[in-house]
Amino acid sequence: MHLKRSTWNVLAVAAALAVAYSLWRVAAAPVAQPEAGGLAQKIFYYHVGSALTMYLAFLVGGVASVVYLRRQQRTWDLVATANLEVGLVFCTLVLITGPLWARPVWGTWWRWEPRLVTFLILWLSFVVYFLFRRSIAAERLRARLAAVYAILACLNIPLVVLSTRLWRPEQQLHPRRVGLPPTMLWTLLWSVVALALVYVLLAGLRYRVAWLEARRTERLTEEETR
Amino acid sequence: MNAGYMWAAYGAIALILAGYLAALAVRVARLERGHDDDGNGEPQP
Repeated sequence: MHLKRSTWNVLAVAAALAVAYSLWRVAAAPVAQPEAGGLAQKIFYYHVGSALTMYLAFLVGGVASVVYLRRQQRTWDLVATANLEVGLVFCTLVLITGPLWARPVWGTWWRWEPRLVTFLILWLSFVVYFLFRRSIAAERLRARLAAVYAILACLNIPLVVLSTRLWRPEQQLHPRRVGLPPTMLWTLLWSVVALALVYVLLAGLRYRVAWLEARRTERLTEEETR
Repeated sequence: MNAGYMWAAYGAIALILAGYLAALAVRVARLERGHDDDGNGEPQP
């Protein structure tokens, strides 16, 4: 994104304010019963918020990969990389905060149940995406193969989302449906808004890095061929 | 009341997001100034 510096500043301030407000709401939200985790239940807001933001980032990255394969324009490859990298960061946050929430509530850090296994596969597949990109030097070939790989990796997302419905409930600790009172629902929504703004800021910066690096490589290649 | 788990989770989120944001901002600033990426801080030829 080629934004003006003032636009970046406005975006950064908006993200900071939204994060501050959402954290205030998390602090003010009622504390759950001890059997529901007590204070640890408050992890839920940013755990679920991070997961929803991750889905958004992977979706944008997946769509950008499809567009790249159709149009073969470098911009779309850069958009895909930027969004998938930020998505991977949020995916990592979900993997860290999940066990910290599960331990006091379910009495275990981890369980090999469908939601967690499919999610771990999702995380690993995007870690491999970036290793895969680093292993190919030719720019166009790398972009094309990475786009195909990203689309295949994104196919796991519906499986992660629907895992609690596709497998029997006795096999899992994750519930099929979560009913929330309005106070908790609004706190969750504000967490999602705050994290979505942080995502836009990070993805924009990451795109800028990718664009500047591509331009620098182009310039160096031109100098070498002269 | 399990406050330690909550602080650990929010601490990890803050650390990772702030660290990533700072790394990206520094990288953009260096590239815009035309510095190389080998970490030695030397400007490009």
